[in-house]
Amino acid sequence: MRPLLLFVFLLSCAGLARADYLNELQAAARSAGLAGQREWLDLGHWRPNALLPGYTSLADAPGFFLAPGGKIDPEAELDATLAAFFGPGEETPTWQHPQCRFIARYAWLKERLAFDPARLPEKHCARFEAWHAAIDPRQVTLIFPAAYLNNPSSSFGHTLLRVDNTQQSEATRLYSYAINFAAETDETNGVVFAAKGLFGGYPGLFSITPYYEKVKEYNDLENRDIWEYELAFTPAETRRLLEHAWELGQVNFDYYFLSENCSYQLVALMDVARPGRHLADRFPGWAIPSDTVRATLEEEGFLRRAHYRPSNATLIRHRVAGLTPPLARLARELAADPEGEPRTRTLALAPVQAVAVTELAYDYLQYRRVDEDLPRDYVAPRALALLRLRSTLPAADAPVSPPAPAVRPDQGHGTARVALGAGARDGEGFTELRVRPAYHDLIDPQAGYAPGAQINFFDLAGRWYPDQDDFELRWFRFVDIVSLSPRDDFFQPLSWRITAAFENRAVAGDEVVFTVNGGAGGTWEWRPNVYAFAMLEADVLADDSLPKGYSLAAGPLLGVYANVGDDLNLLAGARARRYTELWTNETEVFAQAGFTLADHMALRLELRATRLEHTDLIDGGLSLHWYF
Amino acid sequence: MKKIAFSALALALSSGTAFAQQNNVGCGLGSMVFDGQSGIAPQVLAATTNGTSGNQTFGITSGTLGCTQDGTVSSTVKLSMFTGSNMDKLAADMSKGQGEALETLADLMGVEAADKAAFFTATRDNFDKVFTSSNVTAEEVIANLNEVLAADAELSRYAA
Repeated sequence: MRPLLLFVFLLSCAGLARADYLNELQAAARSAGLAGQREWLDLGHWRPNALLPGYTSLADAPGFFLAPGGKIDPEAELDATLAAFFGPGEETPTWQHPQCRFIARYAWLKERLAFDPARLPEKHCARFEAWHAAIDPRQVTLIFPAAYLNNPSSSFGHTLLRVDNTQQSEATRLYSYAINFAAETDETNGVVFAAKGLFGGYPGLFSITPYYEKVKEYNDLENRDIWEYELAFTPAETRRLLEHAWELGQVNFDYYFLSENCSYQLVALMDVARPGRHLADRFPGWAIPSDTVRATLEEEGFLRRAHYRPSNATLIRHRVAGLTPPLARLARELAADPEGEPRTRTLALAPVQAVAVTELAYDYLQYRRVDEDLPRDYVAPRALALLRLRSTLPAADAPVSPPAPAVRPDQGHGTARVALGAGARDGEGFTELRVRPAYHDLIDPQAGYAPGAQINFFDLAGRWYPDQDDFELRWFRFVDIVSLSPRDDFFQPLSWRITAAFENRAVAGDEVVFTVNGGAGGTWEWRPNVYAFAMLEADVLADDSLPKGYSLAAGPLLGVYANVGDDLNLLAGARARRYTELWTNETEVFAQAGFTLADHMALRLELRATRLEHTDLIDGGLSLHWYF
Repeated sequence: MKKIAFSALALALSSGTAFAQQNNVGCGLGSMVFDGQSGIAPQVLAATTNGTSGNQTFGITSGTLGCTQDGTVSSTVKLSMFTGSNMDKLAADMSKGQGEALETLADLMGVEAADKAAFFTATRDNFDKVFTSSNVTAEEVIANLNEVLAADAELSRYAA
């Protein structure tokens, strides 16, 4: 009996000692005010409540909190976390000890409270260590896929992180891991998706993917250029980032497309890794990926290097630019018929030209496969025939690589804009104020943005006519998108535009009406950086002041858009429409010029002449635009 | 959920090659011109909403699933997963004798820096032997490549 008694005694002694040490640590944490410290709040993703005192965590998985009310109580959560660290058990393939499950919390508290390993035995976290070793981190790179052809809404883009490993070289970045935060759903209906997504209807989760999958997704399938920003996290910060990503592994956050989105969560993750910057605080309302990139890189020296990874479409354009038109045509023909007569003509070329034609043919075939959704039966035999042909031609000297744009997306203007202007309407002077929270229009400074892609959200304009002592709403445009993508022999995108707004309309008797209008057509590059476009437009007006409460219109739009040098953008055009119910014709000629004055400032001149049935109206002004 | 469905698929596939069709990239069962996510609608949807859409996307602490451990690829299937997922790029790189995918493949096969040039030349010279048909699978590509390497005096030590 005696040995057993002794054992029981020792056990309870150990138990008591453990309880003592836990109390001691909890008291120390309280007196140091750890639960109120920023690092702790960031680890639990607690944010101050908007109105009431206290905090609420953005994390929506109950398993992420050890205290019953942990989601709203950082202090209780800290006490419960410390208690859990004393818990029994060793890691199994399906269960982790809290020291491992919350490995970033453990590391932080251990450092702050100087845990005594004799009294709080440290567990070995084999799974985390194996994972960390498999990732083998050397540095963290922020990945930003830019907008793609003909879809301005993708300008909002996406951000993710790549963890570069110690083995990788310049040439083998493909084999690293990407850490990505995304909404998880099988919804295929875009409208449902967008609606639910705006209101946090989907769970967002962190996941890990080999980087080559992301390159394939963005560069090859979506034809988006990728920017890779190598960040100067210290090794300790990189480890903390991975520790926290591990903690968040199975934790869902409601995904809000505008606010708590991929970019916001990445910023929050980077805040944990590198405390003191509080970048997430800067995005309380909405987080536009390019803005979060700008904020991340703002700290002096934090960007080690930026690397540009052009998409397949960019590569094709670059290849085409290097060929004469007949050779470019031959490449298209070869892509369609690589074993027939075009092959004979290709083989008759000088070897350098034959190589260029064959490689372009292959890239273009891959582009068409995705763009036109060509069946595998069509593509695969042709692809193989092209590559067989290529392998018989001389080896390449150096890879063909399009040059990176001179200005990176993060170096472009800020996406929020305020403008102050003055002008005259029908001889009546006015001053004007405009506010636009996001994002970019055709006349804004072009550097760093996709050419021909406009997307404005919640653009508001009001005017003051001092002579009449009259304030007037000009427009409130919820969304205003224009996509001018030039057509050529290789690419045949549709150009389009759509606006949904409350707008003051001359045709409606200078009343503010609700309108949805849009158009579709084509754009052609007339000469370098000068585009001509033609669209057929439709316009729907709705307001009680209209004869039947509504009016419909349709008509053509013709225009020219030009980027002159780096600092001047021009847009001019003419449109005609006939309105039902009002039974009025409206023709309009407009011209806009934007001149970049400084990094965050531009001057804009606008003129618009409108002819209604029996009246002409001229409206013009000059305005100064600030970007931030 | 996609992820779960995929994991189950990966698990089913990791044990055999019976399902070696174009529409899976389980543990490296890919073919040329893999018809994964394509078409405009899914692209636009994915781009504007940032939905999860990728293959080989895993939960971070998802445990051991098929070929992955907590989301990282087991070392034994790294090569086949990479090959299966990058067949089009690898084929294009081999036909030229250079490229990022081919460099990465060389690393995954343990080819030393000094032998890379010979490796690239060998894959190019033997393109027809490696990519024998447009229906060739990743597994066959790796097997064919090993044969090519085995027959090459300089490179035979890299043959598996």
